[in-house]
Amino acid sequence: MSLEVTNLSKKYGEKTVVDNLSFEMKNPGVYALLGTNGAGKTTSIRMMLGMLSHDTGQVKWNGKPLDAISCNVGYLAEERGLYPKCSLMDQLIYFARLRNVSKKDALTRIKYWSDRFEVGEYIYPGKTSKGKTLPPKKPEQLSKGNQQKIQLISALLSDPELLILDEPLSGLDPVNTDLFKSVIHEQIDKNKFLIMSSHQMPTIEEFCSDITILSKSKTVLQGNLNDIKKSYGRVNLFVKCEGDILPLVEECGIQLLSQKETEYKLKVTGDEQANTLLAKMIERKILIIRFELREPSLHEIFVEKVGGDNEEK
Amino acid sequence: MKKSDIAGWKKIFSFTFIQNYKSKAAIVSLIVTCILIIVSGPVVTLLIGSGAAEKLSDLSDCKIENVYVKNDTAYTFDADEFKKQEPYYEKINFTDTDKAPDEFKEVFKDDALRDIMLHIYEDNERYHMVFYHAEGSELSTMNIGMFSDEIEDFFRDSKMSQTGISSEISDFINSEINTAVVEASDISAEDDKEEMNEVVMTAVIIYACVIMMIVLVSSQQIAASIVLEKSSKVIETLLMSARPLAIIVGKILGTMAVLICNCVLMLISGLVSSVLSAVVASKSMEEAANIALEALNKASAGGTPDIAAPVSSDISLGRIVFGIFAVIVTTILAYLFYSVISGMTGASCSSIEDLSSSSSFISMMTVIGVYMVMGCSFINNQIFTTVTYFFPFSGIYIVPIHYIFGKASLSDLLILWGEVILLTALLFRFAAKIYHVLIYHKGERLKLKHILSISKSQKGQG
Repeated sequence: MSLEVTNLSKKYGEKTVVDNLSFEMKNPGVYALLGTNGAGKTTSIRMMLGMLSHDTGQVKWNGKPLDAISCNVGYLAEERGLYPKCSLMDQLIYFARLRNVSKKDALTRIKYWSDRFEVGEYIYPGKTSKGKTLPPKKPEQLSKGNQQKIQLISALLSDPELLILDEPLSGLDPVNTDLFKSVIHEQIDKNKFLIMSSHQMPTIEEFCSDITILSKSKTVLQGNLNDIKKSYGRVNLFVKCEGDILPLVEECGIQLLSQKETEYKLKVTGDEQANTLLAKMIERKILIIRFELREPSLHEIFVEKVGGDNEEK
Repeated sequence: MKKSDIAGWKKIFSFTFIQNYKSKAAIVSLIVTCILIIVSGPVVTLLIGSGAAEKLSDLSDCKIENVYVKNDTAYTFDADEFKKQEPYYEKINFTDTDKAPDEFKEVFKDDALRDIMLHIYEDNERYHMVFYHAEGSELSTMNIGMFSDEIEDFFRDSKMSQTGISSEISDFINSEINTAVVEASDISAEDDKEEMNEVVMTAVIIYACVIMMIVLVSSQQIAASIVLEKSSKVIETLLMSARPLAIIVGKILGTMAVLICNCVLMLISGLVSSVLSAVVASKSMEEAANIALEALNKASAGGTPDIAAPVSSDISLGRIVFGIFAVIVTTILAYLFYSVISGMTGASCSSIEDLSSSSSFISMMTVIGVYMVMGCSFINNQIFTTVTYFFPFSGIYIVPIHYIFGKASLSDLLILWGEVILLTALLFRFAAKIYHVLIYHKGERLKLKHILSISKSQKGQG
């Protein structure tokens, strides 16, 4: 199985909202689609799923044009919503039936996922201490996090081969974030193809092997995350010590990024410059608590790539 | 438009249909409506039946016992002659009196609950007849009214005969002159046509009101459900599994199925109501009918009761059957026509607040259509009628009914259907082109010019 997106473009009038987006997913895993607000991520996802027409380009799933209606795709939309007055069970069965899942299978899967996400009490009728039957809750009575769980359940009901998650962790508390992460890990273990859009860079780093960063409708960075990081080199130096090292930093010609008491964020040109600083600190007998030379984080790469564009706005 | 564009509409249809009947508000209002229909028939029958029996019992016997006549005119009032001419009143005792009207109160102090005092006098070349009765009289308004009419007629005839003018000459002098403007094509059976026109007008207005209600309610329902899906953001999940056109088709047909089911339930309630009415009527109306027969028998000797003759017409059964079919087809076409418009209306709004202003087009066209139909019924102008027939927003309210009554031809009906089908198809095609853009629209309500510019930008799609 593979997903291939080639030269996908979309214009609204004179405004280009997605400009020649291309990427390929040859193996199962998580592909990240990153970008600032309004960069064109959601529009790209909608076009990939055939929900929105595209001016140019094509999207192929297993070598054939991807049609979300006929292919087994799951989608957790950024704009999440449920019918406010309809029972959750009815809605989940409806969404499953629309994905061509039989009612019997839908009921089995709803049971499994409701247990997994601990939302059974909202889907199934409950009982009071006196044995009276309590009706299940309506969506409007659920918290945002629980509504999000229901939405993810609806995306998973067809046991999709390709799962697209648009901002899956936004607005979740730490406990539910971990729950969502565990489900995503479970899908990865099942060799599913996942496309994830998020602004939470640590999450992307945790899951994704390949990324595309969009800025103002254009692709500004693309490739394997490790390769991208390596290409930047180990230039970020984090030092925590007991003593003032600023004169040494200046002496070595190292750029100071930030300082908080005796914690320093520095930018070096390479390993040699970092080693020189370390040697000088040992020579001056400064107690070193932490000395870490590392590649830039995805957050730093992202800010570097799209920050300038945003400032231009 | 491809076949895949409407794939999944059946699931949306069944969800729309089932969810409507899972709504407590919808169920309660349907049950209340059906109960009202079932109960109203027998209740009205009971009320009319008892009222009719009461009225007819008033007519069966003359309740008046004594009439005291104070005649202050130059003409004599011959009570015996009156009783001879009106045998219904033969048991009444007529007595001449000299008492002034102020003194009449004294007479009614005693038990004179079935007595009348009649004062006839002349004033400024006009004659007056005043009928006095006791407080708490057993005589109904109808008793006294009928009696006063007969007395008035008798006194007028007496006056004429005493003056030397025969009733024939009097009738000749007083005969009314009727004027009418008639088209050459309407020369025959003018009276029948006039009665017929009233029936047609009533039928058209009732039908127009029913269609207007169906159109407005269903349009609002469809538009509101689309706006709800947009505002609650469910649309994004739905669009993952079905194309926008499938969503709107499923919704339109689902809502139509709900309307049909509701209509069938109301029809069944109506049938139950009529059966119950018949059961109730077999008791109370039997009484009323017996009294009526008795009254008619008595009246046939003297006065002639005024019974309205049923409206005669030359409408064939075949025309009525096809006419009912025409009414059903036109109703469905009108529903579909307005539904496509309301689908686009709903898609052009982002919130329920926007919907009220956005629905004004549908409301305005509905009102214009109904006003044109009413105007057509009152003005009876050929050109205006033709315009009303073929303007789809008004034709749907009038043509099938006019067809049943023979005022519109089959070709008129077929032309209207063709127009509505063509317009609905064009609107549907237009909607297919722009719907996927409208459905994602957020923010300010889209106006017609925006929708047209979206359509231009979508050239070649849909």
